Amino acid sequence: MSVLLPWLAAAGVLGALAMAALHLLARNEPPRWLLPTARFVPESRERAPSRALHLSDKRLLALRVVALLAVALAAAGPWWHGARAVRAQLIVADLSRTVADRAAVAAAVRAAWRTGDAIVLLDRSAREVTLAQLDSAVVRPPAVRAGRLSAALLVAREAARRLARDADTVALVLVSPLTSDVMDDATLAIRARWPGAARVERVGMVSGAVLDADTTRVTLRAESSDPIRASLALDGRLGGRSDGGTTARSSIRLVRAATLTSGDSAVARAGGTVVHWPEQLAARDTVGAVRSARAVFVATLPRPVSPEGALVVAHWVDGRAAAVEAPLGQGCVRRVALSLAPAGDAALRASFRAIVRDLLAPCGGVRDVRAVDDATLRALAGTGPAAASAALVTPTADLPFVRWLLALAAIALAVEWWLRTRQERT
Amino acid sequence: MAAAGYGALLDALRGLSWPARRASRGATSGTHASRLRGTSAEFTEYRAYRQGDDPRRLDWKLLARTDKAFLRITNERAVMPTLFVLDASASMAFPQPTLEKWQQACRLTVGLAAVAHGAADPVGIIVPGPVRRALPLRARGGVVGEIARLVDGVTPAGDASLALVVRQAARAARLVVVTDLLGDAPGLLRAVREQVTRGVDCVLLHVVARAELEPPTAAVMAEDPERADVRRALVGATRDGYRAAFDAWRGEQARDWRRSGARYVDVTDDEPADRAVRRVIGNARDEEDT
Repeated sequence: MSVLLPWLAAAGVLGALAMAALHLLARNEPPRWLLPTARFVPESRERAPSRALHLSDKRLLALRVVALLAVALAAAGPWWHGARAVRAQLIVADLSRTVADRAAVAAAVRAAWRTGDAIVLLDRSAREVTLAQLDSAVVRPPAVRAGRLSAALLVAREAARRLARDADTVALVLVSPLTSDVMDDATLAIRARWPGAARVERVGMVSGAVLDADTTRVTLRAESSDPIRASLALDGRLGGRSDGGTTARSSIRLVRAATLTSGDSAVARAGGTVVHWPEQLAARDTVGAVRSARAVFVATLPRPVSPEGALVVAHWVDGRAAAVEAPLGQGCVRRVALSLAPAGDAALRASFRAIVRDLLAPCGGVRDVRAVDDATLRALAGTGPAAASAALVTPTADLPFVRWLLALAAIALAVEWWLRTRQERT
Repeated sequence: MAAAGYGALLDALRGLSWPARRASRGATSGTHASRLRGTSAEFTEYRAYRQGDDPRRLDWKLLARTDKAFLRITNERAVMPTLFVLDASASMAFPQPTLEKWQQACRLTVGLAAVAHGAADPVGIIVPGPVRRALPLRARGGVVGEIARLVDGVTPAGDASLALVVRQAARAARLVVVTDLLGDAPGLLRAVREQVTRGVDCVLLHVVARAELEPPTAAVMAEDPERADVRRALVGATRDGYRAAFDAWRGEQARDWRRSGARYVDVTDDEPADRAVRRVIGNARDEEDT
């Protein structure tokens, strides 16, 4: 049995000792004295302090101590461990898209796993799974979209509360390549709320050259005077093979024609990224800016009809979608409804080229496959021992002992009141 | 205290007189001025004869010399039958175990009875209580000793009413009530007023124990011997309040009793009894009535 707030229990013990000390300095009834003029004594409490070398009112003292300790213990949050393992593990298995060898992740998890441990799987989402479910996830193709370690840590925290009921400590194990792709702004803050250190087992990550959106060459099917061609040329990405890259999962094809061809679809189904960005689109109105994941391009732009899709890659300044992505086979087709003015050098501006880089990112968006730096790694690992179970259970958790302790305190106080009243009457 | 224990007190009081504050109603010849005008040799004045006067009181010699009818008016001297009402309620048994308040009340009673009896006044006593004890008005020798033995045989207890006894005191010309006024003081005051209205010379001796005026500093649970429901802690925080309330009550009693026409004298239990008696009878030169 443990308590969530040991200092409150200690305060209760100190209070009980203080109460016993007060009973040593008991306010005993002073000696009787027959005084005919007693009626002139002002009304006051019919007790007066007098020292005693022995505990007075032992029954009252016992009841008061019981009530005080029960209330203090209830406030401290007691909970029963039961027969349990000394240490449980919470293993976060990263199977997101930046993992190079998914089987290696499964092997690492299996090596660390013991009965009673919990596994949180991180691919495009985070969820608690069994070991068998993890094995099934390993053989599935990697998710197109990035997963977030923040979500995995939140799920891990919930699972830890369950583990804490049967364990003294809960150790956090991160099996992941720990790339920037799974990190977000909240990751370190959420990690800091885990009350203990984490063991990090890093696995290999995919090659940065394959997934680097900013350097992958793009196969362009467009007119020779297309301004996007100039933009890609400035970035040095123009020149992908239009015929031989159909089977490459990393291939990126930009189609400026009005419609896609079967070859384009084949590229997408094979795992490539097909960006359908028609050059000629009828404008409905104009808009002042467009924004992608990493860039903002400010200009008066004619706006065609917004494409429809679940995953928005870029959007106008008023929130409407400018580019959406839809999965197709193992790849995806990205539809871009962004027109450039026929004249001008907008396509050559750095901000627009940044927009183009995001739009030509592989399926799932920009992939940042850089390994986290050492400071981030240290923050993720943390310091000190594994998390204590008491620290993982919040005071608002269901604590069945509390109501019984409070009931005990109420009964003790009621009996104390009855006893005291009876003594005063006699 | 045996009757012989009052010897020193009686010796100290020998020769004192207790003059009446007003003319006595008594007809028996005594030492006090009487309301009656009679036939004694103590000439006072002449008064013209009026129809209905007793012709035997005419001054015949004057009538013979002047041919005018005058009555010879003389002062009568009468006794003052003095009745003592001694409060023997439980509140008088204080402080335990010396009962000094009760002892002082007994000494005052015996001393005053001796002084009154010294002037040939009949004296008597009534001690109300669970067992009422009384000695009727008597002027014979030895009555003071009887009173002493009577009071010595009384143990203060109960809370008998003094007012009832006072109302029944019909023959007394002087009524002395010795009490601590902790019983039915308002009722007693009304009864005494009735006696004062009838012309009785009433004296109230308010006996107060020193321990009541200055209770001990140690914390005690004060209990009223006559009222079980009065049970209060007398500690440092309440002592000043107690003394203030008690003093205020005593002042209020003194004022009320003096307004009633009775003579009010308060006596503490540590005051020498002979000195207190002198204050009561008004013979002490260095004392003043309170």
